[in-house]
This record gives sequence, structure tokens and C-alpha cells, in this order.
Amino acid sequence: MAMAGSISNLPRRREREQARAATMSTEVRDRYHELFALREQGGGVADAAWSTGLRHRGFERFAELGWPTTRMEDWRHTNPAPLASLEVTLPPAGRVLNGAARRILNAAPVLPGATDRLVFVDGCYAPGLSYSSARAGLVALPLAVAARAQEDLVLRHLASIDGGESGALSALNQAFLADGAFVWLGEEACLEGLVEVIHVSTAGDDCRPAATFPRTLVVAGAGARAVLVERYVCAGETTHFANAVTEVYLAPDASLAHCRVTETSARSYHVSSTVVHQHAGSVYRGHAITVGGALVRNDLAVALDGVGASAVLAGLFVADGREHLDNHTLIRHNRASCTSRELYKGILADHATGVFRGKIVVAPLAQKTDSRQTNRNLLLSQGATIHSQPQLEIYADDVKCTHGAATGRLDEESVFYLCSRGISLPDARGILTGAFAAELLDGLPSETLGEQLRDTLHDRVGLVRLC
Amino acid sequence: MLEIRNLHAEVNGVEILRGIDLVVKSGEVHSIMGPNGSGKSTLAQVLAGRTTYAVTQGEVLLDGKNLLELEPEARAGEGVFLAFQYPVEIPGVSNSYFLRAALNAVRRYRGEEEVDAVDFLALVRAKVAALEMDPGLLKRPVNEGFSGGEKKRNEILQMVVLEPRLAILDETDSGLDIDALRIVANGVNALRDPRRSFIVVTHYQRLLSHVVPDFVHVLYAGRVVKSGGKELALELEEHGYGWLDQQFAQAARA
Amino acid sequence: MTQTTEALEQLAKADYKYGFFTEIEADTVPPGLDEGIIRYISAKKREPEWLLDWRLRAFRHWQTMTEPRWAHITYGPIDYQSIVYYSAPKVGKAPQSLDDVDPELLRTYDRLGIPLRERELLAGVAVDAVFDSVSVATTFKEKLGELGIVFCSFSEAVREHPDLVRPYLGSVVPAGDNYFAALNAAVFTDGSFVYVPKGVRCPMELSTYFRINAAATGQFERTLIVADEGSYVSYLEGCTAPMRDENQLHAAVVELVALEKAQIKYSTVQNWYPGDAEGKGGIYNFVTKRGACRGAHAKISWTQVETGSAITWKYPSCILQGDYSIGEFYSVALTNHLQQADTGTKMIHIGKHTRSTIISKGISAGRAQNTYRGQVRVLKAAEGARNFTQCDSLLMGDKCGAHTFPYIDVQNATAQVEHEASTSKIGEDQLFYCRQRGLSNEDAVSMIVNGFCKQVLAELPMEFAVEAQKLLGISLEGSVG
Repeated sequence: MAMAGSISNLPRRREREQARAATMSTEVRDRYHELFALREQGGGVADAAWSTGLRHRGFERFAELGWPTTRMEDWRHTNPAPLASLEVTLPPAGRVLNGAARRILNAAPVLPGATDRLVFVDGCYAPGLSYSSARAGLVALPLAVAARAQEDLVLRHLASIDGGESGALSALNQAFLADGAFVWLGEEACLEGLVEVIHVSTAGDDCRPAATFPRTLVVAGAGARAVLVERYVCAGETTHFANAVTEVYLAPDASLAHCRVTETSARSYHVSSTVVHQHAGSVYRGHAITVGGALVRNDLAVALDGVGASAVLAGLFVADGREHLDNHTLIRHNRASCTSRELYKGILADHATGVFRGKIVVAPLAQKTDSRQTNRNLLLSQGATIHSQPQLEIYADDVKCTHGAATGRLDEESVFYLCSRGISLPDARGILTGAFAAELLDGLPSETLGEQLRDTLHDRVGLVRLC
Repeated sequence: MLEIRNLHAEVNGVEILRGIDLVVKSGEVHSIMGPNGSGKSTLAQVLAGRTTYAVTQGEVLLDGKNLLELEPEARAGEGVFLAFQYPVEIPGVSNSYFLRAALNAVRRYRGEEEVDAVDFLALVRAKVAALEMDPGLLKRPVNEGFSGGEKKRNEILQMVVLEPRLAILDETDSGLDIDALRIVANGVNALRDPRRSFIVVTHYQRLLSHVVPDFVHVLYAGRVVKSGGKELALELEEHGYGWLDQQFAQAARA
Repeated sequence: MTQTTEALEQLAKADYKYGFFTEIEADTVPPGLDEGIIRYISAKKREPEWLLDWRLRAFRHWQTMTEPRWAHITYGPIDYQSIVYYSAPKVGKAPQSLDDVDPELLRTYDRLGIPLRERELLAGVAVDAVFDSVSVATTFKEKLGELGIVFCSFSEAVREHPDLVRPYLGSVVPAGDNYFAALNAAVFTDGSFVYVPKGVRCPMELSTYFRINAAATGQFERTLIVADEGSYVSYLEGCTAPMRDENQLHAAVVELVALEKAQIKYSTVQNWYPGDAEGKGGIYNFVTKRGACRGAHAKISWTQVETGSAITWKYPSCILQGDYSIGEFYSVALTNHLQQADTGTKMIHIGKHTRSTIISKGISAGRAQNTYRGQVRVLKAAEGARNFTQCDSLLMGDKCGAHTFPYIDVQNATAQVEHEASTSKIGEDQLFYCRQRGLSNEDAVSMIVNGFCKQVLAELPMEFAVEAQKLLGISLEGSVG
């Protein structure tokens, strides 16, 4: 909290920090400017004339905002300096390592019912790995292709929601916009099965980490219904930096189940901003599963802009080692009679740090708001840390709003109970940890995805037993 | 004593009461029966002064005084008591404190002296015992954590303490087991008096075999469609309300 | 319009009954702040060199600081050079007993409901009364003295018991802790001091009554309470101020030190002038209160009922250093009209098996903004720490706001931290139910509000609880719809 500390020489330290942050900010801006100029001049985005204006505006905005610092309330518990100090490089265009990508994709096998799949490797569309059902009422195409065919439609929506909290980093994504996924649902299109968008990061140059800027745009027409699975996976233990932005527009009564799964190696960095704009009666179900990462920061901002819209946000974040996972959510109740439900759970082992900051804002117009938010965290070892900030900001009186947060370790009694039945201590702990995560994995719109993630948790973190 | 003339009431533009006429004389017990949605509870709430319902026509006189012009608390002062179908919880306010505050408010309205804490306790303890209630309920917050039966008994306790002129029981029998029903009925019967009247809103005949009504009225679609003696309740119990639909359908055709 | 809104609006028309001004001769310095003023205050109080140095260090530090702006409150700039930093009722010499106190002052306290004389004789509550900047009377001193309890004005304590003051002054809230605490350290004029010796249970409630009287003055009192091993003390604090059109600054500091197995219970009923219905005038209540449980099994309990002030910015906190130490925070904050409150607590768990409880009830009416802001921090070594937090907000009318900003930082896996919050309005159902039983709308609202606050009011000493209940009703008058 921004409340004063008790150290009396704090101001001087703060001044030093400020000075350092300012210098750093300039350095980072220059570095990205160099990359930006190189790319814009070198014709590395030859195919993307349609987005030139967007990119330049994005860079201007990034330069104006500067790199975030821990002095900003939004970044209190996640130091963005390690991100700034990454000497990133842009992966060369068209470098599609189908072999490597295939190996990674093997770990994330096609989900049953996935009728459409868009795969991007290091930010570039991989046609060989993608396929489309060409169903009526659905367009699932790379952004660049879609923009050629439907430039108006794409440009009307792209980068038009302003609701994210991670301003500068979203702007940076826009500055380096090259390609991404475009998912469009026609009016009343009720799609069986699901649409998958997969972003694979391979490796950078020999020693410089690769930076990618994935972008996803979802536009759902009135009354449309669909399931979208957005996945970020990476190859091996290399360092890379992904900065993703996803925008979702839901027309009246549209309904979208949106799984956003991030599996990042302990040496990789991932920041993302998902913004959702909901019209009257629309339903958004967001499932955010984050496993690992040197530093992961996910922002999710949902604006309930139409009467009777509802949002259900479910999140699970799991980290070990010295990983740092940060989830920020913001739900804005802007109109009357909207409902929101939010449940985020964190599992932290070793010396991992978790951050949950969930804010619910109820605007004066939003009477009859019904909102419930819960954050529960499990600390599995002595060195693990959690920062939890559930926040309610309410300007209407006829509302029902509650939030709750609880942090603790595994219930000793339950562990003992399992052990007394002959289960080993690690297994007992694993089973109970799995049980803690279960409601979020079971709630996913794809059962197979839930099973895959259970395996991932088991293999990678080694904490969760199958149960 | 109570005269309801051509009472119309609506909520959100939907008319629920469509011209009720009813006269209740001192000392009488009237039962109002009817299927779900016929307007029974609305009538009870309108009489007590709930503003959710807008009265669009008609008048309600209690001893010649126009009730509709009075605020809910003034109606209580005049002696109107409503035993709620769903008694409300008030966290943090003890049951006995609430009851004494209500009693003294009503007494002040009537120009009577307030009852002090000691006298009140003696008074209420006796009533609690008569209703076979757990005296511990007096210390608990109003209706909070009470079982369904406890809530209903608590309503009767309040009635017994406030000694109203007109008591309206809104489905007080629902959710009560046989013993509780008997206790509640005894509470009501003990209060029967030539100067007091009751309106008993209920679905079932079973309460009426304990609290025997002088008149039974059948409410349907916002109107009193049939009135009779206590035997009408038995008739309804036997035949249900289905016949009303048929009659209504015939009326519509005619 | 709903019944709730109407009733609230009628209730809101009540007047602030403590808004009178007492005509009294006072020693007042010209407005403005520089080292000269600080030297003047220090000299006036015949302070030792070390304290003057401490003040000056704080002042120099304060000059490098900026006003905090992170709270959910808005107000115009404060001109620190237009504030009068010292105003004292003129007395020939320090009062030896109540007979030496200006009768006009005693009458003031009578009107406030604090009859010093009667309290001394009857109530068994020892009172220290602070008028503007200085302590004017402390009752029951002798009786307390027999037990070795020191209860006197801060200035007197500095002179008479420097060995008790010096080691603890600034040890909980350092001089440079935050902007307002630093300002206080530089210019504080008086306040109360309490020391309870080892194993002594203070036989009566100790009470301080703060009164801002003079115009354009700031009040900067400083309270220090030290409870030695195994002792117990319950301390009450009340505040009022005259109605004035301009805003007045109150920047107090309270430090509590509880040694091993000691218990301090600190209760506040804060009713500074809140400004008028249009938000004109009122006190800026920017206060730093913090207690340290230094020894094992120590306990500090804060209870506050905040109904006054135009702006409240205060976070009575507990630093739980001793193993098994306990921190509690019970709060009712009521804001009406254009009042703003950003209040809560910090519970810093350092020792093993430390426990804390936070119960906060916020009531917002009119166009007021009410924010709970609280931090629960469990440090690495705080094995087995536990916290339970419950924050409930009640909204009256659709133009006010209620906000809940908890900050939960846990660095120990064995800790158990729970936070629950809810926001609701007074239900139409509840109001109708009460009115059907004959209660007026105002009485119904007042009853429901008091019920909502019950958990907190139950923590207040009886005498204060009754006052607080009345205050809640009065403060809502004209607000309640």
C-alpha cells in the first residue's frame, strides 16, 4: 500500500530510485526505438501496410508513457525493471521452425472438438500447422489476411478499446504489431466445438532473447456463441519475451467462453493485456490459467457496458522456483443489472511470488449490480509470498457486492487424514493441492484441456497429483 | 370497523388488485383464501402501507379513518398489525430491544405512557412462555438465524405484545409443523376479543380448523369472487381452486 | 423517491451541536512556520535541548517531503504558512488544580458534556483536557500517582519524566514517518502522556478531550502511552471543534508501546466539525496512530467511531513484534453530506503466532465517500500468524460511494489470513418491517445503523458507547433518505 513506511531516510532512497527509473526509462525507450526504426525502415513488415498508422501511434504512445516502475500503484509488487533490461531482438520474419514448433505442439495436442486452429510461431502465422473448418458464421484468419479482405472491419475494432491497465506495454505491442489472430462470429452463430489460437515461442538469437508481440481480436455478433482457447507455449528453457494483447467485443446477447492458457518456462517473460467490451445481455466466461514464468503479468479488464451483461472470471496461477506471477483484473460495472463472479486461486511453492489485484468498480449508473469476488491462495513452502488486493470501488447504492480473500497452507488435518489412510506425505500434499486447483480445471469448457493442464502441473511443478 | 371499497393496486404498471370490497366488523375473523398470485399477500401489504404497490382507486377505512393517507407507522399506531409472510432480519438489533421500541412507539402514538425496561421484561417473558418460545430468542438479533417456525412464532409474539385492533396474518401457517401450528393458533385465539378483528390469509384449511373464521373469502385475479362461512374453506380444501379457472374461462367467453 | 432516501434526507438536517466558540484570552503566535516558530514553541514549553533538536530535525526533513496523495480523498492545497501553530489559553501560571482553571474553559467542557469537576468526583474517569494546543486540566492525578501511574500533559511529562519520555518518543512513529507525522513532530504543542508501571492495572478509564477553539489554528497534539510489563490501561479520546467556514488542520500523532503481557485499549469517538451540508469548512483530520506490541503476549486494541471531520485520513496500526502478541481494530466510520473518509489499519505481523482482528463498518450517506484501506502484512518470521478481517459498507442514497482497498501481503506459508467484505444498502424490507411495527422512519434507520455497527460499539466502554450511538443518529440526520 502506498502508506508511508517507517524508515526515515525513505525519501532519499525514493529519489535515487526515481532517478534510476528515469535513466532506465530513457534507455529502454531508445532501445525499442532502434528496433522500431529498423523494422519500419527495413521492410520487415512489408505485408502490413494496413497497420502502419496503428504502429506509429502505438510507438508514440509508448514513448510518451515510458516504461512502468514500481512507484506506480499497478506495479507495486511486480518490478518491471527485469523486463526493461532484456536486450531483446526481433525474430526474423518468416522464420518458421516447423520441426521445433511441431515438437512443442505435441505437448499440446489438438483438443477434441477444435474445428479451427491458428498457429503462430514467434509471431508468424504457420499455415502448415493451422487449419480451418470454413464454417458459416465463423471467420478465423490471421489478422494480416483478414485486414486485406475486410480492412474496415478489422481497423474499426483493432486497438479501439481503452481499458487496460498496462498502458505502456499495450502500446508497445501495438507498435510492433505484425500479425495475429482474427476471430469473427456472425450474428446468431452458435458454434459447436472450439477455436484454438496457439502462440509458440521458440528461441531468440544465440544469446539475445526474442521479443514477440502476439495480437488477438475477437468480434462476436449479436447472439453468437463460441468457445475460444488461446494458448501460449514455449520451446525449451530459452529466454524470450512475449507481450500479448487480446481484444474481445461482444455484441448484445453474445456469449464467449475464453480460455487463456499461459505455460511459460522459468526463464521466460510474458506480459499480456486482455480487454473485453460487453454489450447488453452478453456473457463472458474468462478462464485464465498461468503456469510458471520468470515474470508473468496478466491484465484483464472487462467493461460491462450494457444492461444485464455478465462476466465470470476464473483464474489459476501456479509457480515454483523463483517465478513471479502477477494477475490484475478490473471489472467495470457501467450499466444497471450486470452480474460478475470472480474466483482466482494461486498456488505458490519454493520461493515463488504471486500477486493478485482484482478491482471491481461500480459506476453511479450501475444500480442492481451483483458482484462477487474471491481470491484464495495456497502457500506450499516457507519462502513463498503472496500479495493479494481485492478492491471494491462503489458509487451506486442498490448493489450487492462482496469480496473475500484467504491465504493459508494445506490443512494439516486433511494431510494427516490422508496419511493415516496409508498415503505418503508428498502424495497427500499433491492430492490436496490438486483438489484446491480442481474447481478451476474442471470448470474449463474443454475437458481435455483440463486433463492436459493437470499433466502439465504434475510434470512441471511436480506438486499436483492426479486425482 | 374495517371497510375496503373498490380497492385497486398495481405494481410496475401491472394491476394486482382489481376492485376489492370487504367489510370486517369488530370481533370478526375473516379468512382470505385463493390460489397463488391471486393478490392475497398484496392486499395484506397494501393494508399495512407498503409503497411498492401503488393504490390507483378505492379507499380503506379503519373506524372511519382513511388508512391510505397514513404512513405505515401511523397505521401501526392505529392498530394495524401485519404478521409478515417472510419476516425480515435486522442484524445487530436484539429482538427484545426492537419489540420494546415498537411497543413504546405505538403507545406514544396512542398517548399512553411508555413501558420501562423492567416492566417490559416481565410482560414479554410471560408472553414468550405462553408461546412456548425459547427465551434466548429475545436476546438474538431480530429474526437473524431463526428457523422458519421461530420466525413465525416471533411474529405472533410481536402481535401479542402490541395488541392490535386489526391483525393481518399473511400465510403465518406456511412452514409450520403441527405443534407449532397449534401454538400459533392458541396465540391467536387467546387474543380474540369483541374489539379486535383478524384477517387470516392462507392457502390451506388446516389453520382454520384451529382459528375458526366467521367468514371465508376467495380471492381470484385480484377480486373477491366468492364469500361464505367456515364451510367454504372445507369445500376449497376438497375441490382445490381449479374450478375457478373454469368459471373464469366461462366468464371470459360470456 | 424511496422511503429510505426521504428518511435519510430528513435526518441529515441535524445541526452540529458542538459548533460554538469560546471567547477566551489566548496566547497566539502569528500564522506561518519556520524554525523561529518551532524554537518559540519549544522555549514556551521550557523544553530540553534534545527535544528542540528532535523537532528541528523533523522540520528540516518535513521540508523535503511532499503531501501524500494516494488516498481516495480530494481537497484543495493546504497553505501551511497560513496556519497558526500555537494558541494557548492565557493563564498566569500552570494550573495546580481545577480551581486554577479559567471558569470559562470549565464551562466549555460542561457544554461539551465533559464536566471535568463532576467526572473527577463521580464518574471515576480521569480526564486530560486539551484546548487548542495545550493541556488545560488533568484530573485524578493524585490517586493515579499512588499506583505509580503517570497521567499528565505531554509538556509536563517532558519536564518531569524525561527518562520515561525520551526512549519512547518517536520509537513507534518516527519523526520522518510521513508528511503529517513529520509536521507534528516539528510543531506539536501538547497532548497526553501515560505510563503504567509493571503489573499495574489502571483502575479507571483515562480520557483526553480535545477541543479546537481558536480560528485558523492547527491542532498538533501528540499522545504517548507506555504500558510496562503485565500492565493494563484503557484510554478514551474525544474531539470537537467550533463550526467555521474555513478548513482547519488536525495532524496528531499517537504512539502506543505495550511491553510483555501488557494491554492497551485505545478508544476514540471523533466528532470534529464535519463542515456544513455544502461541504464548507470542517476539520482535516490527518492523523498517525500506531502501536507496537514489543513483548510477547502484548495486546493493543484500537476502537474508533469516526463521525466528524471534513476529511479523515487515519490508519491506527499495530506492529506485532512480540510472539503471541495481538492487534485489534474495530472501526465505525460514518460520512454524510460531502465528508470523505479514508481510514483503516495496518497489522504488521513480525512475531510468531501473532494474531490480528479487523472489523470495519463504513456508512456512507449524502454525497460522501467512505474508503476502508487496510494492510495485513505477514513477514517471513511470523510463524503461525493469523488475521481475520471483515469490512462491511452500508450505503444510503445513490450519490455516495463506499470503497474497500485491502492490501494483503503474506510471506509465511503457515499464516492464515482471511478477508471478507460486503456492501449493501438499508433494505426497503427492513424499513417497512420496522415501520409496520410503529417505528418512525428516522428511528428505524437509526436502529438499523446501530445494529450494523453493534460489533464495534460493543468494544467501547459503556459510557462512550451510549455517546457514540447518539452521535451516529445525529450525524445521519438530514442525510437519511
